[in-house]
Amino acid sequence: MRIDRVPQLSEPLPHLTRSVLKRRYRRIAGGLGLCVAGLGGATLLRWFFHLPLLTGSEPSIKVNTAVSLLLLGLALHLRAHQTKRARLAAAVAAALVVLVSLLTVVGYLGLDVGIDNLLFAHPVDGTSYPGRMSLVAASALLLLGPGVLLTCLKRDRRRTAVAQVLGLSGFLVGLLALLGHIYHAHFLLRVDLRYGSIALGTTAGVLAAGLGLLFVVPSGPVMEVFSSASPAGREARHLVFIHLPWLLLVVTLLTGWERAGGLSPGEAAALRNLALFIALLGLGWRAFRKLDQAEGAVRRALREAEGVRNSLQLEVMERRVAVASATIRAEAARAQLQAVMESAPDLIAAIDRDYRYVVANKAYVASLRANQGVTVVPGMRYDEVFRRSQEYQEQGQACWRRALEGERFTTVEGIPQPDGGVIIYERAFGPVTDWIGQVTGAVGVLRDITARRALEQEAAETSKLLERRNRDLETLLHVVSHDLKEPLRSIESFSRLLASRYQGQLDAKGLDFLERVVRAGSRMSQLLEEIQLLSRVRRAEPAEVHVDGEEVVQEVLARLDGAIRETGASVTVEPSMPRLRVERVWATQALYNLVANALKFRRDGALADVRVAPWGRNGQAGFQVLDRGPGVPLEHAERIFQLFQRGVGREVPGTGAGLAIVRQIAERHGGQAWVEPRQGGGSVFTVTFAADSGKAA
Amino acid sequence: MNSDAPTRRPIQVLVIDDSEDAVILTREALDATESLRIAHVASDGVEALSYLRREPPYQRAPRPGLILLDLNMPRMDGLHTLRALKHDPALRAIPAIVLTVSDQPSDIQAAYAEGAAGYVRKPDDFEAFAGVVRELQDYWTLVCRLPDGS
Repeated sequence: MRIDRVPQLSEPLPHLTRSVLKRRYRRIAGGLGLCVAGLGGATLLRWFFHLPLLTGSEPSIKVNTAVSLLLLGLALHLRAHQTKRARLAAAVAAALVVLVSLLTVVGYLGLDVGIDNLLFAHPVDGTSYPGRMSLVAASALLLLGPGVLLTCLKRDRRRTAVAQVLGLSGFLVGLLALLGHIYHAHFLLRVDLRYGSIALGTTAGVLAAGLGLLFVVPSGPVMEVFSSASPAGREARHLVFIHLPWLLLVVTLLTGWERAGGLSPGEAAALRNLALFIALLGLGWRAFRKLDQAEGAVRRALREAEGVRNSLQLEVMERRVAVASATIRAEAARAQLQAVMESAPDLIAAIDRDYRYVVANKAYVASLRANQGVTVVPGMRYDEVFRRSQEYQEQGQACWRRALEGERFTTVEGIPQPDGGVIIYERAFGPVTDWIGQVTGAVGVLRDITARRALEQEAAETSKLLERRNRDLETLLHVVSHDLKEPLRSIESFSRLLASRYQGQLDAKGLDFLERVVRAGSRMSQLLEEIQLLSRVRRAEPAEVHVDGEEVVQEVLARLDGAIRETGASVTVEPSMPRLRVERVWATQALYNLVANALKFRRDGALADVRVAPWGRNGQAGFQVLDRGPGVPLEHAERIFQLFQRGVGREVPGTGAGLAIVRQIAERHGGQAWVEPRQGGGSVFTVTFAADSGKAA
Repeated sequence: MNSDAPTRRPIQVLVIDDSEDAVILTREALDATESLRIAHVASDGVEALSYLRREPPYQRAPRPGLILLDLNMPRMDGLHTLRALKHDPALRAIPAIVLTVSDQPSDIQAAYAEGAAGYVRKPDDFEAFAGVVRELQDYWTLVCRLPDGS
């Protein structure tokens, strides 16, 4: 809910502020002082020079009164000036007024100090007393003089109050005298008939001085309401400056009319009462109306304020709820993030753009506590943590900087530990971005790869060792197969020579023995040849050559043509043989061995039924040879691919190297060789090589 | 020579081989031919050169018409012996034939490069070997003519 307007009790008076009013009042006071002083001064002139223009007869204002009025007026005027020196002069003048009036009053009480005769001696006849001021005037001055004097002293709220009460009292005395003059109420004008009554001029002076005293310090308790900018202040000013003067004017006019004989005393009194009644009624009505309006405005304002307060409260509540729920959500997300981070064995930390930690998991904190002796808390700057080692601080800071610049990278760093060891960390750094892709920070994940490194190193060493052993073994294989060949050749040759030339000289047993020597030699020769072949395969370097699978199949079938005819086998070749990345001689050798096996291993009494099919999957290509032979028991499926491990007995010819050679050829060329049972009996032998990645020709 | 028909004159053959078994078989094969006769068997290249140059104790040794040599031998192997023969002006005219069990292409290439008159792979089977030797005889006696002085 919006606040439409600020409720106001009244329209402000932009220029009539308190200070403006006060300045204006002081100016009025000064002016009044000047008038009073002027009255006193003019009267004195008349007394001293008997100026015809100013007077027709002896002045009614007494000399002492004139002097007092002059001093009092000057004091007021000076006091209104506000300067320090003027204030001092005003105080002196006021003090003199007090002295004169006090001595006069004392004189009335019977203790004549001769003040009356100071300027003008009393006539001897005792008919008139030109120096003695009337008792009423003296008492008025005795009120006003101290009042002015008090305002000249150091400012004090109590003093100001007393001065204003004195001023008001003086004014009331003057008012009483004025009324006495208007109504010819002589007892009001003189207390002691011997010494005359207060003059009309003095009355005016006293009234003016009383007002001046009130106005000269406009901030006192009496005047406060008049100098207020509030509606009340306005009403007060209205009453005093407008209504009071017209009431006085009306009363004066009525009385004058009565005195002139136009009205009887009864009529005049009735009209005066009517005027007073009207004034009272009017003032009262106005005051009550204002009060009523004010109260209504206050109620409205309060109501509106209440509404605003309620809506504000509601809004605040809503906001608090929103903030609280957002906080709870954020806290839950943070807790979840922390839990995720804690579950990782890695050291995880994130910083903001000022290199201050945002989050860090326990592993990170623990590591830095051990290494740097510092406990990382969110808000801590990165350079505060690495005070102990400048080098790591700079190095780490460089990594964070790269990450903050948006780079995602990994480094490996060995970090010395306090215990003298070194932990190798793989450190991954990257930027953290907000939903519009702006980099708000960076995250670093440190993984302890010391153990992994050690294992890797060990594995590398083991593999190197294995490679060396393998090489040694191959050399041995090669040398042995080669060197065994020569004596074997002698055995074969001489046994055959013996068999051919000395047949007649041996008996049947001798011939049988000789025959066995020949057969053993022949078998050993075959074995050695295959070992040699295997050794050659192991040394073969896979070359970037390709061969058409179709040609390989045709060559194999051509080489086995005799055997196929002999066994009466049926051989089916499926179309679409793949292109292979292997040397022709090796591909041919592998397929040859498989097909030869398929021809060789058959069920009793059955003719071999061989199918050659293409094979291709996962970037590898090769051949499949399917037979309807006895099949390979699962437990032998792996063993038959090992050197000299045969799945059958001696009744089937063979050395046990054929499948080992097939596997070796496949593996040397990025492929594999394996056997699976065939649906409906028999086996499926597969040999694969790396497929030709290029376009088929 | 006034006769156009090739005559089966006996040819003296120098055999260079360190293997006794191999030498026996070679001798058996050569003896089975009509023209090829073993003049001497040297067990390595050093001995062969010494024989050919008639160094003591071979002062009276006849000059062979053909040389059959193995590749694998101690002291001086077949290829080195070939090189020495072909660098000797007095001996380079004698045809030297490599007779070995190796069928390594690199060996064949090297043998011809060093001036071999032929490269024969010795078959494992004796009968086959005897056949090869017989054909060698026919080739060198019936097909080719050897330089004089053999």
